[in-house]
Amino acid sequence: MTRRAFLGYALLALCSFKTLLGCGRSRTADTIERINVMMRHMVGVEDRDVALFRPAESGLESQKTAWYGEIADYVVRHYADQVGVDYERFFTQAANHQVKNPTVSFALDMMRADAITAFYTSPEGWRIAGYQGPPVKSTWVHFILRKTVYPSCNLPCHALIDRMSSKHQDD
Amino acid sequence: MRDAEYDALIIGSGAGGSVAATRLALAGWKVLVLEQGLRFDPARDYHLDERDWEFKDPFVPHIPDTCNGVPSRPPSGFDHLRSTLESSPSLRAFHYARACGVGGSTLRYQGEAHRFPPYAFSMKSRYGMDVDWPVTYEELAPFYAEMEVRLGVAGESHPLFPRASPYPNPPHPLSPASRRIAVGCSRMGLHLGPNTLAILSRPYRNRRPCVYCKMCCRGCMVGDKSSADVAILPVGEKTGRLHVRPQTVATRIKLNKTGRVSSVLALDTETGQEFLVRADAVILSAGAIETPRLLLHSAQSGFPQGLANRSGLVGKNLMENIYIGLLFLFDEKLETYKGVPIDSRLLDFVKPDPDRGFPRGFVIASMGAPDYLQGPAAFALWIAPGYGRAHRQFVEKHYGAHAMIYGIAEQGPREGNALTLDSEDKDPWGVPKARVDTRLNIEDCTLLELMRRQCSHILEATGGTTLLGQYSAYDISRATHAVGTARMGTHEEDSVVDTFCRCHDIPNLYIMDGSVLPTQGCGCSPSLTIQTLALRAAEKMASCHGV
Repeated sequence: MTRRAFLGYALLALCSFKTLLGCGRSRTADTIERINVMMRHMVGVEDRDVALFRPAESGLESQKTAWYGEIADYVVRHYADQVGVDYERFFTQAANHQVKNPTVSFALDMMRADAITAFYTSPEGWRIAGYQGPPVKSTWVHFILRKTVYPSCNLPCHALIDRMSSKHQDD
Repeated sequence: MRDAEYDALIIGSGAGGSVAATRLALAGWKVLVLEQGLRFDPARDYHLDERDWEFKDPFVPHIPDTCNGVPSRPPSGFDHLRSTLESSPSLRAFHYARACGVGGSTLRYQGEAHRFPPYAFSMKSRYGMDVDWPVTYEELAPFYAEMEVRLGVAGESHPLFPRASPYPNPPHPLSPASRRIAVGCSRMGLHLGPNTLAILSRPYRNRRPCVYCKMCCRGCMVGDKSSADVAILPVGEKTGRLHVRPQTVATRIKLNKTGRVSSVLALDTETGQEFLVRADAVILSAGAIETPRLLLHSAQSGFPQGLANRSGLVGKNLMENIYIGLLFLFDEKLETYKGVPIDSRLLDFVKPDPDRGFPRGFVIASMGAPDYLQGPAAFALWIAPGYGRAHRQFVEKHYGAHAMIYGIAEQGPREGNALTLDSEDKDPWGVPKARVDTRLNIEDCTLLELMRRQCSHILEATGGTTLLGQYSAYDISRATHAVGTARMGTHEEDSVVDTFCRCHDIPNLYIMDGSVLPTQGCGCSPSLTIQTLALRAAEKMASCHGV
């Protein structure tokens, strides 16, 4: 083995070792965490511990990590002081179309749509909106309760009674 | 599938086709229905129990691209009628809103089961506009009643629509939103009453009543909405003589030497295999766009301008919806995302009244949250403005307080509003697409303005509301009530079919869908009238021809 090959293998092993230890993922994980923090501020739920962004591995979804990461970095770079990141100031400027960075303005609407959709399709979001939620899965329990205790209940969950025979058996 | 023979072949399984098929099967006929869409399984295909249900439409992915709208500029001087809640295009093009599947567009309709008022059948002789129908309300009344029983219609009698007996089911209660608006209406001397709906208000014929999930447009999972696949076709299929073949498209109608339909060329859209179906009678029930498209495409010797088109009226007189809706917020949350979709309607303006300055009627209705803004995510995404805490507070405060009041009117039949075959563009099966050229005129815009003004007055009288914006047919076409492209009439020179939906030109070819309607019923929804005409025509077929 030549010295050059040895150094090459050694470097590869070091990289693999770092990856195994989680060091290789740290930058991406940091980015995703920054995106999530920003998304929580974006929909005004910074008091909630919810993950609104879970990057997918393919197509546009994987590209989003880069775009959203750039927005999150931009906000940290330009709107942070000793107290922290001033998201409200950024969002006020964004709402008034005063953010000049082209990548940020390009992807901001997409990021907002993703954040809102992720949050308001979750039970956490439904609670904030005051929505009673979509049908629950424990249909039989509900059905029996409706038959016995709550005959006047008209929640859509009862719609599911017909579905137990096929779809949910497939699940 | 090998070539097959039937007593009747029906193309399309929607409002008209399902009724005709079932009636003929009950009379002993062997019937085949070709349906280009899927047979949807509510258990498998509808999404109410899924987390992102509000962004999943089971029907849209399965609607084939068969229709091109021709862009045109709406009449100038009416910019205040533009939609403000969506980006408003400068040019307007026909958009055909429908569903394809066993049950047709009844799969996604909101269950409105309206009779047309008696005067709607004689607009020409009473008001000097449009055309008269070759049938009267009195002739249709018993068939209306029979359809209402089959569908389990829930409603409240109204003097505008004379009837011999009450509706089979009591009306649905008004939603809290509609109750508020009804108070405003009563201050103006108007009456907002319960809508007439093919949605069960109580258990009926082994079917469950509505649970008020408001999901009619995304497919009813309970089975309380009387779509054709739930309330009509199973009755016919139970006879063993009615066979529905989904995912099969009819591509051409063939005549024999005597000028009768001999067969229909069909194509299995899954396998791509073509086959011929022979039948003694053929009924077209594919809707006001697809039916004339097939007739025009089937031009052949004796009919160079398209089948059954010696009048030259196939594809002409297309009427779409003239609607305008105001979206607003109540000052309190009223759970507007629940209930039947369009729970109330106001009929005070449905009768044409020349004294109003414009002699054409319209209906006003209240619908709580519209279907595309029903869930919290859609509301937060499209209605709640901005970012951050302000956004969240808006959702917290106003979701469930949003509602819409809208007006819907008929569009007069005009030969210029027409579809032809698009010689440069074909559908996935090689048939030329429909090229639909419909334009609004000053009359349509005046109607829009009139309806907008009345809706605004009602909101003012209701009080405690904040206007968010409007949707309008002025710039955005969403034709759910397209009718008129093969109108019925007494004389073959000015109509395509006779009073029993039989083509004047071809004795064993029938049309039973919205195409045959000469006018649009003053803003009432057309599905019940389509079904009623189909029932009456199928009874005539059964009694004349036997098996």
